[in-house]
Amino acid sequence: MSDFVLEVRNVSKSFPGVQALDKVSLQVKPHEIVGLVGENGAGKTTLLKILIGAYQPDEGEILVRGKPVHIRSVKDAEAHGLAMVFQEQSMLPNLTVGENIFLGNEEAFIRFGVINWKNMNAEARKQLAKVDLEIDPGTYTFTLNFATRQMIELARAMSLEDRTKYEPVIILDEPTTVLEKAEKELLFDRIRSLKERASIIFVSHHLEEILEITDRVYIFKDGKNVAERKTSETNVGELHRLMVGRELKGEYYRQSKQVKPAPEVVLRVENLNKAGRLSVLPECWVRAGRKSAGRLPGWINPIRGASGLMDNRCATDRLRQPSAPAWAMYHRIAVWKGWCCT
Amino acid sequence: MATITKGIESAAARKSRLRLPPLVAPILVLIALVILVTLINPRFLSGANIANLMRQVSILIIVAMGETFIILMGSIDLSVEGVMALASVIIGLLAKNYFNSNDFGLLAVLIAVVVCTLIGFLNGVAHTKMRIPSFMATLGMMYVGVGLATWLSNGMNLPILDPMLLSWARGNTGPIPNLTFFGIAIFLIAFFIQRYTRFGRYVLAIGGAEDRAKLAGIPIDKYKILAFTLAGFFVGIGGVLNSARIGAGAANSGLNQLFAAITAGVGGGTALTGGTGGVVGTLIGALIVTVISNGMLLAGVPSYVQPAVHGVIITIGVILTIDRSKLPFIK
Repeated sequence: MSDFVLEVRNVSKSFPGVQALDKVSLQVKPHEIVGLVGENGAGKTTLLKILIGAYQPDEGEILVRGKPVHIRSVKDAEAHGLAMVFQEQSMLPNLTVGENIFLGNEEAFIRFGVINWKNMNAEARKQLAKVDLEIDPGTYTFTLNFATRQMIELARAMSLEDRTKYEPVIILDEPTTVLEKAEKELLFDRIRSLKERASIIFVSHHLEEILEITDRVYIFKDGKNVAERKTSETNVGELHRLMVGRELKGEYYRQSKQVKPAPEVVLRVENLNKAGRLSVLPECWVRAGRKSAGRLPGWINPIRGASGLMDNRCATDRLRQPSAPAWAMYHRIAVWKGWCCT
Repeated sequence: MATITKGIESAAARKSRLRLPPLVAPILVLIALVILVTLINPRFLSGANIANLMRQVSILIIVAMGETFIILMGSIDLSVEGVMALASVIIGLLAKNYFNSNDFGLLAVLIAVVVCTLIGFLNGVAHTKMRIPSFMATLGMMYVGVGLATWLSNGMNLPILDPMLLSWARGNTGPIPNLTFFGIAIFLIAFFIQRYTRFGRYVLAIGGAEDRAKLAGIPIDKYKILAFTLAGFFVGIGGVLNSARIGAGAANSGLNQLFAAITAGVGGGTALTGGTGGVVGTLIGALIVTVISNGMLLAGVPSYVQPAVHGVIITIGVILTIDRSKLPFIK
């Protein structure tokens, strides 16, 4: 028996014009939370897709519990005890929680072609208990919020434990992106308790989160695995330097290179509101020449809506360019006025 | 049993609580229609009319059950009239008839249903393996079916003499028309398939989000082909019974059945975008469609106006079943 539940050896993958992965290696030990960090395009997603069978590696091998395996589909991956919780989520909203947990794996509950709902829901309850979630498995998934659905996906991943008799390896792809703080704490709590019966690959670009939850971290850059660190022996600065290949000197967004905002305001939003979609956006503005750095500010989407570039039915109380009011802009007017949306 | 706490509800759930639960609206519409038609013409509730109504609705239910699975999957089957035409002409030629000396009885029914099932299978293969949109593949198949049926029958009506077939379609057991039992049986089978088989659940999953269903390891093509095959089977049975009811095999015997089947499905709450609705809704939808046609007849509405009314119902049905604000654009 190998020391590792999962081992990736010198895996490469190229797409036309891009070397997405270049001889990447990685190991996961039992009951370990391994972090995976890297900028966009560093190859994290490509590796994950190889692990769940969506892509085939050009070279290199993958070993699960010491044995080389070929993963050609999600089903193959699951048979080896590998499951992924997708960033964009894979639950079917129009099916029940129980069905979603066992979707594609109903064999155990089918006798003579007939689904035994009672057994399935009882089994689903057992899986939900693993993530401390107490809901009726007959609930339709669309009635649940994002954080809850994520917990159910985690429960689905943990159901591999019973099906394969292995301790699963669960891949979490940027699980915290849309979670609120309390929800994130809850998720981390669950991850820590699941650690006793599973291994976890935690992908994120929030370095603080990586430091908080992982045991070990791999740093990817330009398709290469540039470094590996014990989490207890590293810090945000070092991770960031390894990730982007330059020092982080209290200047995450290269502020000094930014164009200074001009004094005049090009867009001002006041009391923006759309019934049912947005709560009132009190006031914000963009100055000429200001580059938006890093993540888009949360109010960019409302503004896109307001400026007519996404949805011309957005009701604006007052949206205006200082020189001329631009309320009730429609797509065509918005483009004509020099707006664009990428 | 529901242990949902407030904190884990989604925005969609909060919104849907403001709306009526599914099926309530179609049932209310049905009740309102029955009352309205009875007020206009009390003969609506007479024994003879009810029996007539049951015969009519039974065939529609059988045909619409097949269509429901296809719509639930997010596809559409437009081949209904072609399949029914073929079933009808095969019965007219092979069962005891005025035209030739064939008298295959039950075997004729079997052959007709098998041929229709096969056409359904071909629909599925054309749609999945040749990657033709279901709309186009089945539209083509409709004309293939009608064309073949016209050719086989030389464009003539083939009067059916088979006593078994005629008693199925026209006889009664006590006060209840025999056709009703066929309708109920097919409905129960369809209900069972939808609720208790993997196929039924996968159809919903595919209609909900095909890419996610695929990710869960569901063989999409296999289940799509199965659904079209099942639709062919149901429509074939409907076609056989329909021609027995008319009393003749004819290439035009499926006329207006496609639209009625889709209207029944959509009017009963099955969204054309797939994923929501089901066969119980279609049962109610079929009753609504039939009560409206029958009511218009009783109220003396000219038969030429009736298609227009069906057109209005299906449009209203679509408005009520699909949350169009969620669609990125309308094709």
